[in-house]
Amino acid sequence: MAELVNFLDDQVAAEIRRELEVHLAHCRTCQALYDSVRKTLTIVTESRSFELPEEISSRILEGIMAKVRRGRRRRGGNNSGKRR
Amino acid sequence: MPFLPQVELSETFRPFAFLREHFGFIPNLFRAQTLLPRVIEAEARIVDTVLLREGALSRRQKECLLLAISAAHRNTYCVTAHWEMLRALGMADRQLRQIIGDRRRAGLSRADVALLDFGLKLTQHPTGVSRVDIDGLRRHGFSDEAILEVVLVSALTDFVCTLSEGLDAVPDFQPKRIPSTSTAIHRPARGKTAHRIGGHTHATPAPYLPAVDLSPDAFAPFAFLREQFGFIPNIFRAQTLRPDVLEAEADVIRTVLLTSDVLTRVRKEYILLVVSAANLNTYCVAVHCEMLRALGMPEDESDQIAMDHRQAGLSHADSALLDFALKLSQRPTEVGRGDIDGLRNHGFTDQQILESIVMTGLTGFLNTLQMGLGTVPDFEPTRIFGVRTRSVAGILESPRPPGAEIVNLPPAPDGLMGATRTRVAGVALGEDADAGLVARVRRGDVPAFEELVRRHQRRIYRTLMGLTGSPEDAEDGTQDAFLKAFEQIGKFRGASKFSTWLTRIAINEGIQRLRGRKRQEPLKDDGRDDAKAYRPRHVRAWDDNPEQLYSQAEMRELVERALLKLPTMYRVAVILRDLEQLSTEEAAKALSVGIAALKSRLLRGRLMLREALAPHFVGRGKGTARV
Repeated sequence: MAELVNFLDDQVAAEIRRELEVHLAHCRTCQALYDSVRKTLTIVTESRSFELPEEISSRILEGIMAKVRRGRRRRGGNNSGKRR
Repeated sequence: MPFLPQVELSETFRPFAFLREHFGFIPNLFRAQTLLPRVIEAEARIVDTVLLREGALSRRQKECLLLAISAAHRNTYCVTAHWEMLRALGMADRQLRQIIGDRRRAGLSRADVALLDFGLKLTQHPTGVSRVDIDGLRRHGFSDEAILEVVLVSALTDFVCTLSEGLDAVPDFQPKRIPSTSTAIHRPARGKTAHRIGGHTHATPAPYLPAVDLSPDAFAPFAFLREQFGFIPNIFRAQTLRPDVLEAEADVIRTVLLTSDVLTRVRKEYILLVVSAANLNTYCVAVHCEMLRALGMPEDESDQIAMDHRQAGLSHADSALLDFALKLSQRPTEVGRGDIDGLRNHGFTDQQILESIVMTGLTGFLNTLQMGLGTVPDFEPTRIFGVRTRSVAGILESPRPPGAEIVNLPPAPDGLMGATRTRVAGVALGEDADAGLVARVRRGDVPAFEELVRRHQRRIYRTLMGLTGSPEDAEDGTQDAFLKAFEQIGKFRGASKFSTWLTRIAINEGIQRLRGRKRQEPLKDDGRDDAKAYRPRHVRAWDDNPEQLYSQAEMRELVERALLKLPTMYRVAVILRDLEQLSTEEAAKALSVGIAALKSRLLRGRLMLREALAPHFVGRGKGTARV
């Protein structure tokens, strides 16, 4: 089981990979488990989850830049100043 | 505004006259490439043979394909253009809206819906395409010529979508909005793994479509290809049903790939290699490794470039060029003016940048073509590209050589952020894509900081959303993380990449917010619930194409809900590794834990996530087995 992460990430040594592949070829349960975890990863990777909405993106950018500029003015252009 | 300057070309420039004659205007996509007229000429020939010439499919069927696939790519330029073209062919707005919204209710024939389904699968899930899909089209009555045309039009759509994103072409008409519920959208691939092949061949069966015999002695494009490459690549042999298209393709190869006056041929082969590998295209990688070998590059080096060009010892400029090509091919909508300026800072001319965009588009075209035709590699590939668990984003955002650590972070809370903080002077600043901007910020350049925010805010927001599950916390946390980074940039020594340093600050911000909540989840490993103690339950086979069961919006909601159900310590490991695509090493660093601990959390997190998603994806009629 512990090797599963390595196997999924293609980071196992050749011998272990072979052993796992042989096992997977014979064990339907492990095959279903491996296959469904692999599909899970593909789904997560492609899901575009938690994407930043456009309007919030500009709000964040403006918020940050306003505070940065304000901080710099207060400090006379010194960029090591504290915010807020 | 397009990214690159344009020059005035005479209205009698042949391709322009041709385009005006057929479209009634000269699309901005072509006007945006006037720095390289030869490229426009070659592209116009492809458009002519694939789209405009009468063939087995009607113009309307081809335009519908272009519209649906462009919408799946979320490409406003192409959606707008082909919407207008379909309107000119007599289709109503309502029907067009359905084609990009719910094509089954667009009043199309079942055969035409099947056509769109195939084009979408080929461009969105190319590795899933098989002979079964081709037979499906045949059952709907499509001839081999028609099927070849679907493949060609799909490949052309990928080409023009990449071009328009890379050039930021301005829509020729009032831009059309693409609904967020549009056709399931997945980029072809965001990651790759590849298995080195031992002594035996994983033989791909014969190509899907029959080919007629064309002799290189009688057919000029084949004579040309044989002369240039020493052989006629199978991808071209598989298209002999359309000799006119082959002529146009040979022309593009001659004009775009084989020239060396702007970008060198080797650099273009690099682009082909890296983009094809990201698209998991074993065929194209094998062919172009071979071509690089013929140009004097050892096989190991081209193999390394395909696997991870960052580790291939290329110059910073070459590496930046390939980063750009990868981003344009895998995350086209995120390409911005900053990326173009980045290339200029590396000394690339606008003409070279234009050619790299065209080369990236051409690679997408060839990759889609190959996947749709099922051609057999001309050479035994050294790797088969397959399952995507290691991602392109991982390469784009991964640290350079390992051995660097973060310094000067605010004190980390116990638990999730362990205590290890080593100071190692490892990665030189020059290797970080943000290094130039960071140096400018340190000199007090505020606009440079704005660019850093633009580059990283999406990633940081995603990480914080995943960590806190609250849009408010994610928004405030993102702001605070960047402000903290700005405050402390004087202390950032470049011992790690800027993005890794920033991620750690953001994770600290997220954790502080979680701690502020009344009901706080344990962030600490209590020793009981490690991966060894965890056993997955009810393991059942999943549907073969789970990603096709739900729309993009539904899928996203399912994943977000499932992720937020995970305990924080597992969730954050999965988010950094699988959503943000950090390498294992980098994710471990960002969390200040050892690699073994990260892997253990990752395994547990992935298994729990699988279990949370399983009810939505288990295949029908398949057996259950208990572990």
